Formats: sequence, C-alpha cells, structure tokens
Amino acid sequence: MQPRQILTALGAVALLAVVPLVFDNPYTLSIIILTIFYAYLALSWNIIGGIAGQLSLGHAAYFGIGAYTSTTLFLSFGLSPWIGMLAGAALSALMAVVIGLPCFRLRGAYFALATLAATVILKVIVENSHELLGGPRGLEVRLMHDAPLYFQHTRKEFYYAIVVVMLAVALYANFAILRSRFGYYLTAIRNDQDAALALGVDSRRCKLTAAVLSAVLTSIGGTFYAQYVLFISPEKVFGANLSVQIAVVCIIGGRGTLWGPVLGAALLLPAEEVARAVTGGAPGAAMMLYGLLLMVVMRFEPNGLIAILKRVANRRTAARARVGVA
Amino acid sequence: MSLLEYKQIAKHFGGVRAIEDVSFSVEVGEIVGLIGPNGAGKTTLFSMASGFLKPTRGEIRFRDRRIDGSAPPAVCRMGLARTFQIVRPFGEMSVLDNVMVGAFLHHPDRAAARRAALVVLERVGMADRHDQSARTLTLAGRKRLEVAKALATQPKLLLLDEVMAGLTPVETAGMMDLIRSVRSDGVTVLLVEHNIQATMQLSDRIVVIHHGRKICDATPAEVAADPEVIAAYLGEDED
Amino acid sequence: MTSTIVQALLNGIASGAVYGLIALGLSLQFGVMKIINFAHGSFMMIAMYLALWGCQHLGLHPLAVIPLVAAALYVTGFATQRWLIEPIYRKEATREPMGVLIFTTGLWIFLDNLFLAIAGPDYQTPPGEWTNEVWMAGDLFFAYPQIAGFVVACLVTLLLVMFLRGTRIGRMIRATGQDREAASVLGIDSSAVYQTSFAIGLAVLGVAGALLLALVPVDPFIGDLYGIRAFVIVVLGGIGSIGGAFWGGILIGVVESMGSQFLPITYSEALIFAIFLGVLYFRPAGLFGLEEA
Repeated sequence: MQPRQILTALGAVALLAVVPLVFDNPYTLSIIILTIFYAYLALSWNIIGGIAGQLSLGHAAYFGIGAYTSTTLFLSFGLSPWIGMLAGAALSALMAVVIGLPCFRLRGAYFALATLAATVILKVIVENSHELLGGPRGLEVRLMHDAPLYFQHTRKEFYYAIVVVMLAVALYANFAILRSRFGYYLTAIRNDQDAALALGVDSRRCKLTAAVLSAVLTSIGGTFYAQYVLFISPEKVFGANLSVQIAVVCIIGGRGTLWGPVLGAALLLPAEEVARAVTGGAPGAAMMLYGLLLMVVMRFEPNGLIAILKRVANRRTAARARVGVA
Repeated sequence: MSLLEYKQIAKHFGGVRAIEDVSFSVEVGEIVGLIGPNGAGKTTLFSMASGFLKPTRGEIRFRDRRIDGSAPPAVCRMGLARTFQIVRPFGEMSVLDNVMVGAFLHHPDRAAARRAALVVLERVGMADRHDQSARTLTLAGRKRLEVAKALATQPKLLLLDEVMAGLTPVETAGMMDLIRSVRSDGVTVLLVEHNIQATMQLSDRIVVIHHGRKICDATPAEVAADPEVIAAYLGEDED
Repeated sequence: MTSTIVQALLNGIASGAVYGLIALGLSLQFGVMKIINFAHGSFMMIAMYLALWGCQHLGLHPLAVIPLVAAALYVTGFATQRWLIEPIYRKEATREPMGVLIFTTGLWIFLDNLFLAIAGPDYQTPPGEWTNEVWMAGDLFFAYPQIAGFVVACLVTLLLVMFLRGTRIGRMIRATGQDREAASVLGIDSSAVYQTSFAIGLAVLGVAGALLLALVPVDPFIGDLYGIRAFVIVVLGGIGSIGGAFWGGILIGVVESMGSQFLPITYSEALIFAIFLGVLYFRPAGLFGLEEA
C-alpha cells in the first residue's frame, strides 16, 4: 500500500475512534451505529446484488436466521451468541445454496421472487412455532448486563466498536473481490452471462459463492442486531421491509461499487430519521420515499448517487487541468 | 487426428430440422470457412460445439474428446473459443477489463492477466483504446474486442461468427489481416461468414451448408465451380 | 364430507379463473416485451380501490364499475410503458434488463405505501348486499361474485384470445413478441406495440381486480399475495401463453382451495410461496427450455 493510502487509513481509524467521544449523546450515537450497521448490510448485499447483479429481495431471510439461531442457542443452551453467530452463518450459507441452485439457472426475476418466497415462508414458520421460537410475539434476549463474552454490554460504545469492525470487514471483502478474478467474473456475469460462459467463467459456481458470502455476512448482522436490541420478532428480522431497505440503500448509493453502499447508508438513514421526526412516524412514509428514490435513480442515474459524485469530481479535475494548461 | 470433428450431427427444434446429418472436420492450422444461405444452421453448429446447445443426434469431438453436451466454460477451458454473431461486450467494463475476463482463464493473478490482456489488445490493434468503455465503441471496435476476448483465453481453435458483418470494405480488410495473423500465431480458425469473397480469399477450405445439410466440402476454387453450390447459393446471392 | 370437497373444488375453480385473469396481463406483457413488471400486484390493488370508490362514491354496482376500471388501467398502462419503462429499457447497459426490474420494484413499494397513506391500512369491502348473495344447489352454495367472477373471467380470456388471433393489431402484437427484428422489418413499430400490449395487460388486470373486490376485501398490500400468484401461474402455464395462464390459474385456485382444507389458516399465506419454490425446483428441463444458463 502506498504511503498516502496508509495515512488515509490511519486518519480514518483516528476519526472513528474519536466519534463516540464527541457524540456522546446516546441518541446520536445510536443513529451513528444504525447508519454504520446499514452500511455493513448494504455492503453485504452488494456482493450478490451489486457486483454479481442478482437482485435479492429477501436478504432478511439470512438476517433472521442469524438472529434466531444465536438467540435460540443462547436461551436454550446458554451458548455464547458469538458461537451462535457462527452457527447462524453456516445455516444461512446453506439457505443461500438451497435458493441459488435452482434459481441461478433462470432469469434474474425468478431469483428475486424466490428470495422473497423463502423469507415469507421462514417468517410464517417462525410465527407458527410458539414454543421453540416464540411465535409472533418474538424472543427476548436474556439480560446479562456487562458480558462482552456473551455479546452484551450496557454501554453503547461496545456495539459501536463492533459495528465499526464489521464495516471494515465488509469493506475489505468488497475491495478484495472487486480487485480479484472472482470480482471480474461476477461483473462479467452481471453484464452478459452467456458471453462470460463463452470465456470459461463457471457462472453457476461464481454466483453461488457470491450468494454464500453475502448470506454469511448478513447473518452475522442478524446476530449483532439481536444482541444490540435484545429483542427479536418475525416481523422485525424476517420482514419484507428490512429486505427492501437493505437492497434500496445499496442500489441508491451505487450497486457494484465499493463506496456506493456506504454513501447510500450515510444519506438515507439520517434522512429516514428526519422524516420520522417530521411526520411523527407515519407508517409507510419511509417505504414510500425508498420506492420513489429507487424509481428516480433507475430512471436518471442507474449507477447510483456515487456515479453522480464521480462525475462532479471528474469535471472538477478536468477543469483544473484546463486552467493549468491555459 | 482432426482438431474439431462434427460426426453426423443433427439438431431439431421441435418440428424444425435446423441441421440434418452434417459431418466435417477442421485440421490443425487451417482456416475453414462455413457458408450457406441465411438460416439458423451455421450459428447452430457453433452453439453446439461451444456447449450452448446439445445436438439432437451425433457427436462433436475436439482433440479427439467428445464435447457435445459439455457446458460452455468447460469447452472454453479445453481450448475452443467462440465469438457471438451479435456482439456481446461487457458494456459496463473498459476494453481492457473486457479482455482481462478472458485472460483470467490462464492467468489467475490480476497483474499477469492485465499484462496478457494488453498483449492481446496490441495484437488486434486496440491497445490505445484500452481505457475506453466498451459500450462507446463503434461496431468495428466491438467486433475486434469480441475477437480479442476470445483470443485472451488462449484457444487452440477459434470459432468466428460473422465477424465481418456490417463492416466497411476497409474494416473488412483489416479483419481479414487479423484473422490471418491469428492463424500464423498457431490458432486454427473456423469462421461463419456471409461475405463470400472474403471467405473465399481467407479460407483454405470451405464447407457449404444448405437446408441444414452439407452440400460441399472443398477448396474455394472447387466450391466456386461446384454446380450444386452455384445452384443453391451463389447464383441467387447478390453479394 | 364429500360435499365439502366438491365445494372446495368448485370454489377453487371459480377463484382460479380470476387468478388466471390476473396472470393473463402479466403473461401477455412478458411474452411480448420480455420484461417482468414487479408492480403488477400493485396495479391490481389500485384497480380494486378504484372499483371500491366507484361503488362507494358513484353508487355503482360492483359489476358496473368493471368497464370504468378497465379503461382507467388501460390509460395507466399506456402511460407507464411509454414514459416510465421504455426510457429505462433503452438505456440498459447489461443484457438482462435489471434496471426495469429494479424500477418496477420501486414502483411496487411506492404504490403500496402511497395507497396505505391514501386509503389507510384497514380492509374494506364494497357497499351493498350483492356481494353476499348466494345461490344454492343442494348442499353446495355459490356466492354471486363467484359466479360472476368465473363467467366474466372466461369471457375476457376468450375475447383476448380472439383479439390476438383475429385482429390485425393482435397479430402485430404476436409477431413482435416472437421476433422483434423481423417484425420491424415488416414495418411494425415495436414501441407502439409495447405500449398497446402493456395497456391491454393492465386493462385485463383491471377487470380482474374489480372482480376480485367482490370476493375479497381490499387493503393496500393485497397486491403482494396476488402478484405472487400471478407469477407462479405464468411460470407454470408458460410465458406468453394465454391459455396457459387461464389453466394455470384454475390449477392454482384448486390447489389452494383444497390445500386450505388441510392446512391451518396461518400457513395459507405461505402456501402460494411454497408452491412457487416447488415449481422452480421440480419443473424439469428448466421452465421453458430457453431459460437454462
């Protein structure tokens, strides 16, 4: 890595470390955590939805599997959610393969609907299993106060630190993929699958791998959520709204890019909070906004807001060059 | 042992017999032209060899291995690459990135793939445009890119599907030079073309397909003189 | 006991015909334009609300609103295709029209929540007694809306088939769907064909929605469930096949009706999704042969 990149990275780390000290208002900190969390989820979605171009409308399935697996194992067997998190990730990986195998042969729309279908089925199953999984009323994570080994703490800074690490991991995963052969292959598949096949790309295996990676990361997010909020319910963790939010944040920010998902989260999450404060929590207002933004973006800048930023930046560089020559 | 062999190949789409009992082979180092009146037959032969379609009957052998029914990526890995009649660039990627996708087959490392891709782009005369977005290329550029992508997979046999369609005479001559240089680099070429003159000039041997059957398999001079070919095709053609 | 089964079967056929009609529009659109419109269910929801308001505010009989709703949806379809979908379709950078897919997803979310704001979350039914009237035949009984739904659905399906086979416009639509380039060589303006097809598809959907309102109460999210049904039916019956959509609808209606005899009610929502996944898994040789990667 070049010295400039190292300096930028150190600067970012320093900045991130300072944030909780500056914004020690718990409400503000919780918004920051939420924003970083959604950036993480959007980056996870990006691997299959953005880079590979396979529209998943049911990522809540993996989120919910992560949340319910770690929580149930904790409540029933006292197993630390850190370990339960891994179990959830494994189950989510399996689910991704189960959905992907038949769907990746077909048009993208079928995969989108299958992911939707899987989430609804999982939600209904959980809602109907009152003893084991708590039914529609959900599960409460048993309070342990300050127990970092059990993924719990009374101080928000604990969760802040973890979510920042998660973001770094997701960023690195996207970065590494985009630079690698795997990433090139996924981009080729997204652009024209037949042409990719003709160049020796094993499209099925690539898509399945991307789906699994994305599912694992999302599932870990589900466990984090369970331990942060300390309460999960089918509506919250298997809900269609969550699936939509994750996808929309990534798409509006810029699917298939490294910073697009982060930009999307940085803009949309605070905006949603503002909207909620202004409208007094009108139901569906946020969703309506997301739907509208999605349409506007697809109509005018399908590559997302990050593409607009890049264009502005390029124009500035070109202008500066022109001035220099003159 | 022939490089590529079609053995009694037939392909039926429901009631339509697109290909019926076609057999011919391509030897190492040849340029073979596949011509015939308009119809699905010729591209269908390509699609069957490259794994996109399964023959209804018959065998296709590549380097004496049966390849009919294999998946396209596997066929490419064996050394058989194809271009598409309607060019299919990866629109969101640059010219260089497009070719790198092909180069990655034999060069898993990104830097090595990049170098190999640049070499291929030099060969096809597009190195100066490597940064350009593939979507903004002219038709001639896209056709060259299509060839470059396939070449990057280091094939033993290259199937070119109407790479000269829609090109000006100057561009066509350039493409013909490229095909010749590809052959002298050791790649065998099987090409489908509508441009009869170009095919005659380029090919060592020509196979003529008419109504899904092979009606001639000879040198260009012999094909031009064959009464059945003339009757079926050359006489009606306005090229 | 058997009469319950027979009743369930007949109920299934009656609702299935309407399901088929819902799927018909989708099948036509996809068959002609090769794009999938995820907002299909939302448009049906809008049709149902329009029908509801026609009954509530114009005092119309639930069957009398049908032509009005169909006309409104025809216009909506034309405008949507012309000004929203087509510009995006033209700009697609990748081979698969993902932009349109994502756009229609946004439209779906937007419309559902827009109507949540406009109409509120509660279920609503049309006023009047007609929807409750029943015709008895021995142990079996049929609600008037069921009979009307079946009859009208069959009629509209038949009319559509005759239109596509018999009229010039219909033949142009079929030609464009089969081979767009060949059709344009013949002088057929594919843009106009697309706009008309989309409009017809939505008009048919409008009829289906109005019929459905008499059978099922409407809420802003009713489109989700019925939209999925439409996709399952299209997948089963064959894209672009009108007959396939009709018979697929009947099949799904019957399967659902019989299935709900044996499954607890809380699972009924998931049943259709499970059928969808089942079809994806078990239908051999890919769904249409062409879809294999």
